[in-house]
Amino acid sequence: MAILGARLMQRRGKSEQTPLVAGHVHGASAAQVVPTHGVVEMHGLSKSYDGTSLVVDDVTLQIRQGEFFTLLGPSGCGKTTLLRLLAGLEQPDAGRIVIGGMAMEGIPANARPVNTVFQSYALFPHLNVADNIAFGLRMRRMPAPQRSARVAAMLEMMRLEPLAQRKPLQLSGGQRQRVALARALVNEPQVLLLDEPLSALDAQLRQTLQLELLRMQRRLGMTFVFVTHDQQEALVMSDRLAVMHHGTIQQQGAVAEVYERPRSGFVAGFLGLANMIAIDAVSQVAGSGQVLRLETAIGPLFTTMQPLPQAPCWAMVRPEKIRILPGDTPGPPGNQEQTSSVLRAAVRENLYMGAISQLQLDFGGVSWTAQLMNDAPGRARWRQGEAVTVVIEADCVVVLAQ
Amino acid sequence: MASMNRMLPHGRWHLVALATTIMPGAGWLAFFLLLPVILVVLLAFASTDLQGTPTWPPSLEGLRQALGFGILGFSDGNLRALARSVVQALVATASCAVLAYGVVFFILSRSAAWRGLLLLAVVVPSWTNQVVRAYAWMQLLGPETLLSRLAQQVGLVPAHLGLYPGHVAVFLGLIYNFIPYMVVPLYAAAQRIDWTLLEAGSDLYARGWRLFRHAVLPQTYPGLLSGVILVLIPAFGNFVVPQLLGGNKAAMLGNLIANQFTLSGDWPYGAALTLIMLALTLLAVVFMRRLGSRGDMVVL
Repeated sequence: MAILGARLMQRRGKSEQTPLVAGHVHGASAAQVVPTHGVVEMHGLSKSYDGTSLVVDDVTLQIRQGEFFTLLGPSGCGKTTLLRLLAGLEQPDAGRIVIGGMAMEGIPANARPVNTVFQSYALFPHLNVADNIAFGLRMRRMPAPQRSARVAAMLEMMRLEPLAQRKPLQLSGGQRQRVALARALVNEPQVLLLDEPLSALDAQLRQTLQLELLRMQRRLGMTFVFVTHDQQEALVMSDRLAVMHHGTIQQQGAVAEVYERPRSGFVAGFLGLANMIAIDAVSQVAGSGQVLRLETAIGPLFTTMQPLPQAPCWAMVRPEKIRILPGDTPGPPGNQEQTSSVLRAAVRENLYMGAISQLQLDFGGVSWTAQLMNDAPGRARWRQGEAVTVVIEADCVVVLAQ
Repeated sequence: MASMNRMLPHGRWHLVALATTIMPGAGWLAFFLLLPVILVVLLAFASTDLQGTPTWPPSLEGLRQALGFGILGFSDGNLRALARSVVQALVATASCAVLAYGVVFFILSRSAAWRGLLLLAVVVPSWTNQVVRAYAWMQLLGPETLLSRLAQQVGLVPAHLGLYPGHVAVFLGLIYNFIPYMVVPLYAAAQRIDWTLLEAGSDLYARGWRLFRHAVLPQTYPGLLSGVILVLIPAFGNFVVPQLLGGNKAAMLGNLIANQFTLSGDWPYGAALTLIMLALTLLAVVFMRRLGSRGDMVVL
């Protein structure tokens, strides 16, 4: 493992210099080198399978060196196609891809500086674990002694040594997944592409492997591009992510930023739970330049978010941002400047979910969801039918375009 | 299996049940396989009377003749025919395999509606008699035909001679005759190919032959093996194609055997040749079964 680690550190150091210099280090001709900001760049990428509907629609994205980047979206949103365009398994109809400063146009999959972990793992059934891992090195005609050293290091790192002589059919799902990962990592790609690599596993194993994968990525400092439809997985693992829908990037950014400040109802709803209500009117709160008052069907909401997007807009509140007080509470202390929204609601449902309780709140016909930590034994104390006071801080109210 | 055992009656009834279930198959095998083989063996070691009719006492004359020891001393004609049969059959089988991969992947690349039709187009010619098909090749490969002219230009055959009659015609005839038997099992195997293995292969820098070797071949191996058995053995024993397309220079083992039973009426000689052929065929099948059970060719 020491060899691999050292090599990776070395490469990482290199590419932190300007890309032009990195190009010279790799011996590429100046004409091929394109100045870039990310290790992967996509410019106006489009792809259609039938010539009419676009599976990937004008996607522009930059993925930075060494980050864990996730493409998140529902099935059929084009995220896997986008990954396949990067791998060279599909050709774009328009746009261009730059990886490591090199334009990828006309470069086939077998010549790209990326490797893929496939959803189905796609291990070669006639080769044992060690030979599967050695496959890429063999195809690149690495001398045998060097090759077996690298494979041995990889087997050790992935804790696959006892399974080295097994055939893929003799492995469990989690073991196959590790072999698929090892088979790609051993080639030390500039970018590792992962196509829903954990989706075939049961929930518990999946969580273990999520963490394992994440730690591996941190340790190697390798750039990972990860495709998933599981928002929880995306939240846990990514440095940055892009949410896709109908072939387009809906929003991209750091995980917390996209979660806390979604820019559309789709992003808000896909990445976590979201309570939304239409905004009827907006006014400035006197004496407070920072806070806006939003008129909605459930009462006035206050937000610090500025500037607001073009009307019409939704107000969006995450369930865990809602605080619940007894029904006769006038409002949180010190709310004279109206930095919090104070609303009246009835508890319609109280679901016990272990760590949290999930409440359905009824605002005169509008139903919102609230999540409370169960920080005392038992479920949250609010009973079904009870009238409560709902408090939402102004910086937790997000305004998004409809 | 356990429930089957419980359903079977015990004691004498067990034997009756066993007999009734096994009898039809066993009888069929005995009558159509065992009996002919015994007859051939007996015939191969029979002697002939003055009219050439097989009689007793037994003799090794047939076997001697089959190995090339005739009235005029040893001749290597039979061994040449044997070698020619083996080589022709192997080359024809290999060519069928290469062509069939092309045909199968072409068919698979078409839409589902076309696939059935194209597969039918491959199979339908085999429904006509192989004699008719051989005559069609004569028309295509005669001395004055386009193909023969081309071959003359290239120097494949001397001027004024055609591809028919000759080895090339036999070779083409064999391929044409037997390629459906390669295409069909290969198609059946290729239909279930996991294409992501090809993608994984190219993602891991493989291309060309090495991509085929690691991503396609292991997945289609059982189909290929069935195809090889279905083509190699009949091609080895075929006598219609060499007789019609080969002229007098391209006789294969099958022709020698046919001649002994039809023209010269020397049955023990023919039976001895048949025994040699059976032995070789058996060897080939055993060899191929061993190939088929090799662990590293397990198909997902």
